[in-house]
Amino acid sequence: MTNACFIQLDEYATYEDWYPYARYCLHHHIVPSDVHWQNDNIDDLFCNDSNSQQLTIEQAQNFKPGNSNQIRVNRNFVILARYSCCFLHPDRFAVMYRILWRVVHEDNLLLADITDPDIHLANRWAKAVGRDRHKMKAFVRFKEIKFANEDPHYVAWFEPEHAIVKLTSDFFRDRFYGMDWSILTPYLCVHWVKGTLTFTQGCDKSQAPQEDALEDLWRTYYLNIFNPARLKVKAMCAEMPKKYWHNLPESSLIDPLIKQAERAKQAMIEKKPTDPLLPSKTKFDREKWINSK
Amino acid sequence: MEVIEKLSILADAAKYDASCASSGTQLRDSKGSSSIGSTTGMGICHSYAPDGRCISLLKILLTNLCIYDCVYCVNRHSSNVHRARFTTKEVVDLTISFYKRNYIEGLFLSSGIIQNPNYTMEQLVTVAKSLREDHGFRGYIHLKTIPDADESLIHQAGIYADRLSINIELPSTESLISLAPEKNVKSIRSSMGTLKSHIEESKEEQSSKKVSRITYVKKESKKALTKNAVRKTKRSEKLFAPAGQSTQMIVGADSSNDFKILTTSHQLYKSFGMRRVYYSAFSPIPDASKQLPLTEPPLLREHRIYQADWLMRFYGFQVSELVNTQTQPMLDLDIDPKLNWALRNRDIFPIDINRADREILLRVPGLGPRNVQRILQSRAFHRLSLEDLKRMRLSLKKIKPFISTADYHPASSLIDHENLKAKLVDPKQHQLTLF
Ligand code: SF4
Repeated sequence: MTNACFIQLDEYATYEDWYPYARYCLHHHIVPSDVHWQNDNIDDLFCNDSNSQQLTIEQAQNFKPGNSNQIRVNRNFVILARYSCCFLHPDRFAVMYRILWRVVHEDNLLLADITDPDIHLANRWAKAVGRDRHKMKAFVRFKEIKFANEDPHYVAWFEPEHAIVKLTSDFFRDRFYGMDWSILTPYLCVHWVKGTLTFTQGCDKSQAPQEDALEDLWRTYYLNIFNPARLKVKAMCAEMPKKYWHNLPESSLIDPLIKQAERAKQAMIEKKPTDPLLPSKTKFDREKWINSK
Repeated sequence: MEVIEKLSILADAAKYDASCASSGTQLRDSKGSSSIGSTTGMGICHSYAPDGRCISLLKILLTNLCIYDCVYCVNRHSSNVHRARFTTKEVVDLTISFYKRNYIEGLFLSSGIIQNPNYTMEQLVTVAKSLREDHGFRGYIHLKTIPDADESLIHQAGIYADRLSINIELPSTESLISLAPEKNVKSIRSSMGTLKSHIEESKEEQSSKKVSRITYVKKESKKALTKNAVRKTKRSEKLFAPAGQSTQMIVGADSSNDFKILTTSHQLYKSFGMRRVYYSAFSPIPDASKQLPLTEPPLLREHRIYQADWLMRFYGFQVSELVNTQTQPMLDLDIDPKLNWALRNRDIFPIDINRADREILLRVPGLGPRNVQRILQSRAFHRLSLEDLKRMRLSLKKIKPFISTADYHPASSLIDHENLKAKLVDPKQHQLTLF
């Protein structure tokens, strides 16, 4: 009889969901190979394995290690785990538990060894999550919904690659503290209304508003800030991958702008210089102005 | 004129300014307030234009009708382009409405000279002040500073703005005299000096906790604040232009060579504590002057200058190691300046990845500060092999000729210059100008 166990987590579970289980297992000396993390909703053979008991959330949460038994883990581990546990890979919780185990029992400097395969993998996940978060901060576009006699509500639709909504909601709260807003995503929605942050189930795109009156102004800006003499499409696509385009109001302009760029540049180059229309006597006399001050 | 029409003219006129940075300012957010806005360490690019440039700020001019006549500038007095002028309120409203939709990090406001330098500066300050005080806006603000404007105005600008900038535009005094007749080098430099001392003083004052209490509290809500909230806002005292100052130089409008450009940048960084010197390839503009080359913008040259600038700031390179007046006044367009340096200094290679100091590792083509950091970190655990470097996602093809590792010791004499250069030049590189 081993103390092997299996743990059922949601497909979009993240660090906070994993934490109570990991703490329980660590304190009960359950070696990583005996913990079966399951988070893909597929019936796994372990569910029927009589040797392995399901560890329930109640068991995990009710377990409180006494003060004298506290296990200290470097803060860097928590930072890494918060990020890499958002990476939608079925092994993320197993890998992070294995790293936790190794940090506690084998090598407390493990995290610094970036050539270690586990650390390398976790870092790669964390980096991808960081990038996804960054893109969310950049490419969420709020659309205003107006109400009579009430403050407007701003709603955005976004499709993150990983489970980053909770991890990124603080950023939006702290930036848009004085307005009411919602960000809708396929797996989880977040709302900031009258100073309270709440989460609701994911939804589909049709729930989000389709337009905002300001978008014409934004497109006008985008159109005019572009310099056709410096076309660098690759550089643009590297930073703003096409998969994000469908939620950006400005993206409909991109193809036409690229097509017309060469002609616009040549027109500027070929155009003959003209004579100034403005009379030169209105020109500024710096000396005179300085002396008059 | 409708706002949308003004926006099209005044954004178009602003695009020759390369800066769009929203990074490196004091961290703040709108927590606990009834307003909006925050800043982040790195800044955020909310979009990219097909020219590959980041769109982070609403970058516009207040007006493109300028009383000066700088030959290279689309807004010069004698240019026959459509003119427009925003009211200060229009700029404030646009900024707030764009910000609320998460299109931007903030505002970069510049302007043609209206009436005189003081009046122009006043108008710019009015916009920033209204954003901060009427709207409690905590996002990023970059204001162009007008040389010759009174110091009191510059001081106010720095109170409200995160960054201030004065563009030097041309690398040499002679070019400035002939191409920007109303500008004055002395006055530009003295304004940069003023900015520098204000920026430094404010930092010193804050570290000695004597800073004047500058807060962005909405005026009407000041009374309503509880004691607690007051304390909170006090903690977010704002420094004078906390993101420092920057400037821009045009590449290719005059005959200055890269040596001149890099020497000028070096001085600007050193004398005025510039955060950034931006370089802008002189680009065809609508209604250009006869005095200037009307050709493709020298994008590859601009790119090489940026690389050289980077090497000076983060890799410990001296200008004289990259270019010099006699033998190499221009950077090589075929290969990047670091590789060029390595090929001219072959005797220091190969460098032992497991033993070399940080400064030496930084000289290896293909190794940047971050990778050097990672090498130093992981070689404390074990001697590094090529496989380890590969796992760090380094391009072995690039660095292999210049290094040795636990399992790899190349012949000490590198393959001959031209051959190695040919091998390392990316064949696609020449197309950069054609994109
Ligand atoms: S001062 Fe010179 S560079 Fe600036 S807007 Fe006027 S003409 Fe252009």
